[in-house]
Formats: sequence, structure tokens, C-alpha cells
Amino acid sequence: MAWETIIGLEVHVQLATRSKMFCACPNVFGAPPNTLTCPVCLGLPGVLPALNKQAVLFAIKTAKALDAQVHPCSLFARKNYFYPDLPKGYQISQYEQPLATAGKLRIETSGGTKTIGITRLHLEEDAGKLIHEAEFTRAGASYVDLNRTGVPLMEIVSEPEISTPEEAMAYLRALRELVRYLKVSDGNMEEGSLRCDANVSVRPEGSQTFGTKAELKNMNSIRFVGKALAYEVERQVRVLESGGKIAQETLLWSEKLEKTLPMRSKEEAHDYRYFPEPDILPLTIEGEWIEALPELPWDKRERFKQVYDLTDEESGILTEHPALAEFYEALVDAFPNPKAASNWILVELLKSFRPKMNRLDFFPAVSPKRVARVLSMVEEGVINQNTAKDLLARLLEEDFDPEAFVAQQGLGQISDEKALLAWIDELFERHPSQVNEYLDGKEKVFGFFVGQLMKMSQGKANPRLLNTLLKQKFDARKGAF
Amino acid sequence: MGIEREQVQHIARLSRLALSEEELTLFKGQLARILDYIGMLEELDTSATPPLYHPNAEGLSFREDIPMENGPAVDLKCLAPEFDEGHFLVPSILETNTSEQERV
Repeated sequence: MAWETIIGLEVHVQLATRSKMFCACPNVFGAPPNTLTCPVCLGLPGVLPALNKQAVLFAIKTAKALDAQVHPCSLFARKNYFYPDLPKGYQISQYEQPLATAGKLRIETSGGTKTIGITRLHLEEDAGKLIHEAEFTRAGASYVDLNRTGVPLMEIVSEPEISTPEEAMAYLRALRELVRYLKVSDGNMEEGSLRCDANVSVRPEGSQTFGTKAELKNMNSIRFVGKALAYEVERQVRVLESGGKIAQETLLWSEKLEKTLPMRSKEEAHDYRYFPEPDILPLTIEGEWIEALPELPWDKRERFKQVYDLTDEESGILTEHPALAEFYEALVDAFPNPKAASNWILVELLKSFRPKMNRLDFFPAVSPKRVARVLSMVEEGVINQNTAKDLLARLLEEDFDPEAFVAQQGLGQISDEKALLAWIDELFERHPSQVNEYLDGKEKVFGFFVGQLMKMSQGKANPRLLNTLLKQKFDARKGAF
Repeated sequence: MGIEREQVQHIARLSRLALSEEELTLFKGQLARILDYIGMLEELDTSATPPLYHPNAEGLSFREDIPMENGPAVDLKCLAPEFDEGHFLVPSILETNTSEQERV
């Protein structure tokens, strides 16, 4: 039987505010445990939450970019559950009237473009972190760090319109890119700034009813989401084809075992007993809060293709992070050869940029103007490609004046015919047998001579001129026979 | 409007409250009276009245996004029965079943 997969994703995005959602504790990652806490986020009696306006503005911005309807009035609610990651005993969230509904997100997959509906986008607070089995922990105890408690979260729920694990991964990539463009989150999955839960079920192809769904929790990389969903789809099909039934359960992906495992800690937690949050008044959105959006990733991608004549792949990579796109445009400004600029970035510079691109404040440390000057020297024939590569690698380490450096170190390309001819003569004298091989028609030996000459020139010979001169010399020899 | 004993037990369990038999009886009665009162309010036809979300007529007041770097103003150690290595300690909570046997 052919099966059809139905996936819906719930993504939690930590907002890049400076302080927490309902108190003034700093919102930063990696501080010593429990140092970023106060009576509000510790859930001590008698405190009142005060809503961070910036968090609301970030959520509105994202909702607008997702083409969602932002509601003029939305409500906060208490979601009650008893678990040590949330000392109040409830999470402040939004339930009946969320901030925004009915959006959409366009994704790119190998099968083309698809639009996934966004059911809702709402604000809530993050919970703390539980640590088990770390170096410092005692057996039989879980350790609680409440630094993350109260960090602003935006929950984005998709319609169950995702049909493959590949589409789920594309959806996450698109969403991560969007929040980075909007500068509302660093979107860093490894640090938990973007977390994904998935509802997944299968049904016979063409069936109108949904199968029983399993919920996959807390997957912390896009790759794991793909693997976990692929595993789970296969498992469900196997169960159904052998006549079994799918249990409605919450699962965790184990990277170590490469399989999904039932989660047992929040068994009864589905009874959340929501009620309106009495400590926070209804949130009314004023028109002037809706800021103009920056150019969105899909628009930028299209523009790069049109204006700079780039391929889908080139413009896709260059627009992956807004800082990289800015860098490219600044480079093209100073070095108006868009194709070459793109090649140099994709081949030479991305190696060192990529590891840093997870950061919201990522900006290539090297000045695009300096890079432009190196590339211009290549184009003008002052230096060759190898020298340019060395210069770029050096520019990534330290700032210096490329032209002055080339002059000072004598790195300029050697285009002096006399010097090159003298080297060729010297080489022919040293390797008469290889010369004869070439003259006997073994053309591969040509490469050997080029390599040797490059070595003699310390990599600085003008390769095109070198080739021409070498050919001429050989032809002269042939003629002499 | 009544409430079943099992419902009271369920709510108590969700809140991790261990209730004695006497307490169960006591709270069952109190909760039933609260529900009766709500039931009485529900008899009113409010279909033409816009919902009042909050008795406070002032609008919601916001906090500007300015972090305070003071650190916790309370002695954390005093807040939990056990505190170690900067963390609060609770009885161990495991997220998955430890059994690694193959599920079909």
C-alpha cells in the first residue's frame, strides 16, 4: 500500500531581546547557573509580571513577514503544569486569542516551491533547564538552572501541510533565515534559540481522515529533525502494515540510538487547565507599532538573481545570512564584477565565514573594500590567483593595505618575458629527456614544465604568459628538427 | 453542579498534592459550591454584553527592554531543600524510558 505522510511543526523561537519577557533579568546564553534570576522568574509569591514591549514588537514583525493577520487584541493565559523547570507551576502563554493567525511561509525543496500555512503565532515564556548525568551531578537528582526561565519565546505553529521530512527541513531553514533577516532571533539551534516539535502521522494515500499522530519533541538541529521524522514515518508504516495501531504518544529522538523513544516525564501534562492570566491585561496592538519590514530573504534572492545574474544556488547561499548578503553587495560596489565576486566568496571566503554564521551579530571581519582591491589586482594582471588566495587568507586574520603589501613583498605577478624565457631555457637544460618526451608527442609533460616554472618564480609567474612562451619555445624546438 | 471524587483526585494529582480522605471530602464539597456559584452566573444571558477581560480600566503597561545586571536579590540556597553547584536539586527526572529494547 502507498502511504502519505502528514507533518505539522511547532517551532519555538527565542527572541533576541536584551531582557526577559516579564522581568528585567538579562537574556543571555551561557551565564553561570541561576545567576540571571529574580523573584519574578523564580516564581516567588507576591510578584507581578511586566510585559517586555520589545518582545511584542519582534513578534509583530515576524507575523507581518509571515503574512499573518496580527490581531488588534490578544490575551495572555496560564498554562498549568507541575514540573521543576517552571517554578510558578504555570507558564504564561497565549491560548484563545493569540497575537497572530493565518500566515504562510514559502519553502524551496528539490521538488520546487511550496507554500506552508501558518496556523498561529503567539508569545510565551521559556522554561528553565534540567540537567541530569553531567560531570557534577549526583545520581538520583536532577539539577535545575532557571536562567532560561522567562526568556521571551515566539511559538509558530504550521498547518499539517508538510508532506516529507525534506519539506520539514526546508521549512525550518526558511524560518531560521527569516528570523535572522528580521534580527528578532539568532536562530541558533545548537544553543536552543530555535527548537522544533513535530506532529507526524501517516495514512493510506488518498484517505481523507488523519491517522493517529505521534509528537516528536525537542529536536535541536535541522538534520536531526530530518532523521527523526524519516525514522518515525518508517516506524509508523511498519506498525500499520503489520496490522498494529499507532499509540498517541510523545517521543524523543535519541541521536545515540538513532531512533525515537517514548518520553515519560510529562505523561499527564496534557491537562493544562488554561485560564486567562489575571496579572496581564489584554494586549492591544497600536497601528504605529507595525514597522516597515526589511527586504525579506526570498525577495533578496530573486533580486540577486536578476541584478547580478547569479544562479539559484549562488544567490541562495549568498542570501542565507543578511550579513553575508550585505558583504556581497558592498564587494560588488567596489569591484563591479558580480560573477567573479560571487565565485571568490563561495570558494575562498565562505570556509571561514560559515562557522560564525550562527550568530545574529555575525559580520565578516574583513572589509569588503580590501577584498575588492585584491580582486581588482587579479583582474588587472598585477597578481595571479594563487597570490590572491594567500592575500585573502591573510586579510581574514589581520587588516593591511593589499597594494602596499604586494609591492613591499614583491608578490606582483612576473610578466617580464625576458625573465620567464631565461627560466625556460634553464629548465630545458636541466631536463633534456622530458623535453624530448614532449617533442615525441607526450603532451602531458607540458604540465610538469608549468609546475617547475611556477616553483622557480615562487608562484608569481603570470600563468597565461608562461603558457604562451612555453608553447613558443617548444614550437621553435620542433621546427629545429 | 457536582464534582466527582475522582475529578478532585485528578486535579490534586496534577498539582502534586497528596490529599487525605478527609481533605478529599472537604475539598469536594468546597469545589462543588464554587461550581454551583459559577453555574448560577452562567444562567444570565450575556450574549449581548462584550466580554470584560479585566476589571482594570487602565491599559496594559509595558516594560522597556532594559536589562538589570544585579543578579538574584535573594539567597537562592534558602529557596530549595537542596542546592548544589549553583543548581536547585529535585528528585531525578528522566526524559525517556531507559529500556533500549526495540519498539515495533
